[in-house]
Amino acid sequence: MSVEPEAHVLGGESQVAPGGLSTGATPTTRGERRALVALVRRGAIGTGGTRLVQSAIAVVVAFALGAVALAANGISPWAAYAALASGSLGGAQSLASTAVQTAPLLVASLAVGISFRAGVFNIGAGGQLGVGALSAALVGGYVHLGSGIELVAMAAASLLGGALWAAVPGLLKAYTGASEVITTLMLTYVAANLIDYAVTGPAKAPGAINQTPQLSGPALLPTLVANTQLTAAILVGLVLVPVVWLLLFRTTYGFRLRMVGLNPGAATAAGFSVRRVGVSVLALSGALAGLAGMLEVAGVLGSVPQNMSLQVGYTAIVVALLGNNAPAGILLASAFLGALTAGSTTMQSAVGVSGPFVVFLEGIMIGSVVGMPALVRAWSRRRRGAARKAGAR
Amino acid sequence: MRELQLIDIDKRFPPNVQACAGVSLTIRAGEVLALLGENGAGKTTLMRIASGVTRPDRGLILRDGEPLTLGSPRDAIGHGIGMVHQHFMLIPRLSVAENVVLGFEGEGRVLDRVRLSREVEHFSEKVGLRVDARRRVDELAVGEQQRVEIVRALYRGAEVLILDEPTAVLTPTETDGLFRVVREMAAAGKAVVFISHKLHEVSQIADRVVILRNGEVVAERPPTTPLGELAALMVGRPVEVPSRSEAVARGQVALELSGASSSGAPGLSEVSMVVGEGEIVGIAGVDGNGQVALEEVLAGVRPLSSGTLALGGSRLERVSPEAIRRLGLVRIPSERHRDGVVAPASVWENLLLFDLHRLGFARHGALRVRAARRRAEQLVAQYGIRCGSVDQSVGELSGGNQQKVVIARELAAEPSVVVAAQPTRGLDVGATAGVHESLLDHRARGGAVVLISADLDEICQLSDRVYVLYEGRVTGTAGPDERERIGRLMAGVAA
Repeated sequence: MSVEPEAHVLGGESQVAPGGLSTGATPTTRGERRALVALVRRGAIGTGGTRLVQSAIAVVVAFALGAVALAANGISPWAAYAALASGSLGGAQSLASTAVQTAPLLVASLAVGISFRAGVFNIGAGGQLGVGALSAALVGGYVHLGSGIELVAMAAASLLGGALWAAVPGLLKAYTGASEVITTLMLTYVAANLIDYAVTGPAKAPGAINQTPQLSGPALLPTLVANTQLTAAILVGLVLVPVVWLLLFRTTYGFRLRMVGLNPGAATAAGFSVRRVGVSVLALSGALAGLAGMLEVAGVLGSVPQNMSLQVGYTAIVVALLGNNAPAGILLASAFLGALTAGSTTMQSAVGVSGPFVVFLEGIMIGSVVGMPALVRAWSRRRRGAARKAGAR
Repeated sequence: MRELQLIDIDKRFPPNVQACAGVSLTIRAGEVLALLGENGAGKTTLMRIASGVTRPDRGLILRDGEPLTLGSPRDAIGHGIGMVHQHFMLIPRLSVAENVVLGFEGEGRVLDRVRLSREVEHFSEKVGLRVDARRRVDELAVGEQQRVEIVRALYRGAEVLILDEPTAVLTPTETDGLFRVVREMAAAGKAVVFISHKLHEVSQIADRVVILRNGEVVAERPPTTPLGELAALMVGRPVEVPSRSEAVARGQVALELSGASSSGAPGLSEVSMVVGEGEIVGIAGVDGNGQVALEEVLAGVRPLSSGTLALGGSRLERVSPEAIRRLGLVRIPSERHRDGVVAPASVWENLLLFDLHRLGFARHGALRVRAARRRAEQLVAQYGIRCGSVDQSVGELSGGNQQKVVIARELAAEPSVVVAAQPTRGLDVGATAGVHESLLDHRARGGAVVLISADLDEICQLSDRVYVLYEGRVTGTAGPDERERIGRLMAGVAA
């Protein structure tokens, strides 16, 4: 077997790619897919320090451009950002709301980050999250166990559901070479339809609303702070941060995973099976994404509704990139994006900024994270050129 | 033209490569000037400046005292300076004649191919470099392509001809042919600049040897200078060239390939060879004659379509990289960046890559980072790997040190057979000596080495026996001292 690292791990042959990462998917060109691959690649390397600076600059650039966009629409950026800050950080309620938004995002982003580390592009965390949520909701709604055990069973169901959902693209990639970028993404639509089928048919709760049976008591995560939606979900996320770090950097599996991600050629020569790592990492990533779904259902939603939003799966890609696929970075980035989401409601009502504005900010952040290295290079080239001219005079 | 002078040339490549630092050089008509230096010494950059490809940051170029401004290769050839690059700049799908005249077709709108071919053929005969002007370039052997490059430079009126590592791709016979041409051109009053890092070639062809090191001219010497002195000037310190000791008693058969065929371009066809314990078996051949296929077959990454591979006397039923490695065969891959190192990962992680489970760095799935780093530090000291710390990423090391990482890792696995594929390609003299020493050590300890190399000097210097690959077949075997025979076999001529 001749080893073609790019094609092997990145599925370089595919023609279709996710378009707007945050707003859903449209089939696009090979060029955009290349850009995506390059972007994730870039996210996988670079030292922590420089990446942190780059991410910070990306955030600043996004806010600055956002300010311009707001001002152009006759809205005071100052007032809008103040509302954003107060809605996410101002007071206990706001902080709780940020933490509520952060929890599933953090777990889903860890899931995405793990797969990116292995050079596997799990773009469909949303779908795995949906299947995980559905699995948890079914166990919680129909199988009644004692308190404590109930939640464990739901978590197990979500892990398993997400893992199986993601293992399908993993196996397709390993045995047919189908690009996981396409298959994970497309399975997200299948998942969305599966959920709608379940909540309108076999798993429909009694009553008028299309949803799974309302969870109660032992099937809900305990609330941490009275009168808020803040539940133990955030604790699960916080515990997973060091766990994922240990997995990546202190286990042989994590070592293989990272080496395969960094250079599949050398990893193959070393006898690591790129195929096995690819399948297992997708399953693992899917399991975590599924768990994020359980946290949403048992922590916030209480049931799986029709048209459940799988947006978190896409936002998780932004978080993983901003966080350099490192658990600590992902924690910071997910808290940040969680705050953005939490504050956006306040911003909407206070100054009349539309909801998609936050998505717009996310988009600019991706753009600047991706463009930053190139910008820095161009800038330093220009500076050198100027210096040379000055010296020549 | 009598002479071309380069005065005080500076060239810096960001961020911190000083390719040329105040280099001055005179190239005279009627002589062969050899530019000798290690990889990265600045030879090629300097000549790219002289031929208008690269612009210097500072410095003057004078032709018979007249300053020249060379904005492009076209400017340079206008002033009679032509360069034959290491990677040929020919258009494969065009004919020889078309390639020769490309960009210099002369006046008129219609390209008269017949007249053109005739003209190019006449010209090539006149300069004593016969080429078949009608053939397509991609049908030609590498040596012929090089001849086309030279004809093209001369056709455009080159009086200074710069040849960048011209023998790297040639068989010994082709090399001899090239040397004759070079001598004739010098005799006809042209100036020839011969870039090389091969000492014996330089002393054979040059009238004058200028040695470059770290972007500076360090010395000028006559070609009669002892090779050891030239080497020391080139490297900046005395170099001991490791030499092969007397044959170690031949032990058991370590590796046997019989009737092996594989895919590839070219793949192997019906290759049989035996490698014994305590010997280095060289695989000679011009690049692209099945070396990659052989390397990958031996490492288990390319399957055999027919034939068998046996290690330590037992035939392998299922060939896989893991199985082969378990049986004690390791590889120093020719594509170091693709197969050898994980560049963004640290030194210790790279040293661990293959020995994750073998040496107990894994305990119940946990990685024993501290133990792995300790061992990495030992290997770094033992093999003289120059790095800031074992946490530095391998991609930041020099090529020689990257190769040391690979070799340290592979030899630390205490293999019985080492497959070393182009192990010194791109390395400087010092690093090369280190690699050779490691291979000879392995042999002295009774290990077997398969040395696949396009560098015939390396093959002859290290090998106990030589197989020659030509178009995926073994065309013959030879002793390390039978250079001419090896050369004929490399060219596909029955010896």
